Amino acid sequence: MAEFVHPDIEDALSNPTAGASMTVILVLEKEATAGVVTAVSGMDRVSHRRTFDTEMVLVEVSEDRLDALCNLSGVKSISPEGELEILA
Amino acid sequence: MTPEWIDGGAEFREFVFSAHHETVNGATVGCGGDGIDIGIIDSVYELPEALTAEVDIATPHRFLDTQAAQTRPHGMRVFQFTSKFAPHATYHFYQSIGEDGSIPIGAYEDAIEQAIQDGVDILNISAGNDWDVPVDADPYSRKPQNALSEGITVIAAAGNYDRIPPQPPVNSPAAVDEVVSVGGVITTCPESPDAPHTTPNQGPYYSYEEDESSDDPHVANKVCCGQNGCMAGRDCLSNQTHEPWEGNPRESRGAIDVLAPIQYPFETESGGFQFDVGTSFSAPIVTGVLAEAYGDIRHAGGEIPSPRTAKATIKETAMPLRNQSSRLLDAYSLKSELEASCTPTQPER
Repeated sequence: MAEFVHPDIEDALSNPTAGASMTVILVLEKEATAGVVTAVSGMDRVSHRRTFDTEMVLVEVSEDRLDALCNLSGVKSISPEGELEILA
Repeated sequence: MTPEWIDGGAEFREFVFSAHHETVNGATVGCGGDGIDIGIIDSVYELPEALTAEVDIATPHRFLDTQAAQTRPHGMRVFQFTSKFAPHATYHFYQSIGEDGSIPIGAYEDAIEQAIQDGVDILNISAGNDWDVPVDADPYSRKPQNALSEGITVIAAAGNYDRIPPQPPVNSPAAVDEVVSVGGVITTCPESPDAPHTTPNQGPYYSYEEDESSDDPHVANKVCCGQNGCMAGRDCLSNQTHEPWEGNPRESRGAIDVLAPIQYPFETESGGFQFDVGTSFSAPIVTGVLAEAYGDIRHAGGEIPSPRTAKATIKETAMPLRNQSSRLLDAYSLKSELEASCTPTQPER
């Protein structure tokens, strides 16, 4: 299980909306990127969007498949995309 | 309403900006950041010529699927603060903030990478993520460390508390160890806004609409020091009080390194004024002050300090506030200290 799960992800895990998907950021442990990308690429209703050189992966996932992402080995945290906001 | 002598928005804004300049003990001499490259990750791709006619603007970069010159006014306001202190710096705009006020992670990472490639000296990020997790688990904490490793000083807004508990921790990327985290301060005056203030460029400033609920709750009805003598021309600086902004985040996950003013005045459709408020506007004041100091260092043949040294010096030279652990930016002391430590000393004759 990912060590840190964002509250919005926890909500979606508890009450997944049928047919809904969300874009999430996986922050990975060191040297876990290749393994996570391989695993994600083989998962049903999960689309790998981008890998960053900062050991993070952007993924689109059906809400009812979030649990599988959270349980991937090498995932340190999982949070929704778009949480960085202006401060005014 | 505003002080009676104010005719228009530009005049009021300049008055408030000048007050901010005095609040942080801004220097009025120097090269104005000449020779320094400032990166601004924000909503701007291109600004109106009236704002940039006398400013050096580098080729901008866009990381969003838009053709808008500005997705929101936020980035323009950040630029106006920074350029007040460093009008002769070179500005690099990295348009990453969308119309909804958020930054996609891809745009964020690409913008910082571009800033590294462009060789900016200082990078301003007036945005934050308030998820309360260790910094190394936060997705917005990693890329700034690449910039820091390249010697880029990163200045970030500490975060905003909207009075709906829980009070957030210091946001990321401000919480990153070597990033300079900037909180807000308000400098108040004991005068009443009901007293007449008719002398141009004197007196306190304040702003509230008849519908006070539209103003920021931390600023509504505050009377702020205009730094220019308020009480019938008498010297009244001893009456001013610097207060940490009530909207600052709590100091967990990271510390607030320094405070700077937070109010940006703008005209409303009804012809009144309101303040756009937040640590988004504190950060660019520190960015501008630092750029001014860096410019003078370079002009004197010195080398600008490392991000770690810059942050330590900002903290060391900041002004302690009465009964507060937070400290207010002291531009003059910061500039003096950095110039003394970063410029070559002349051999004695």
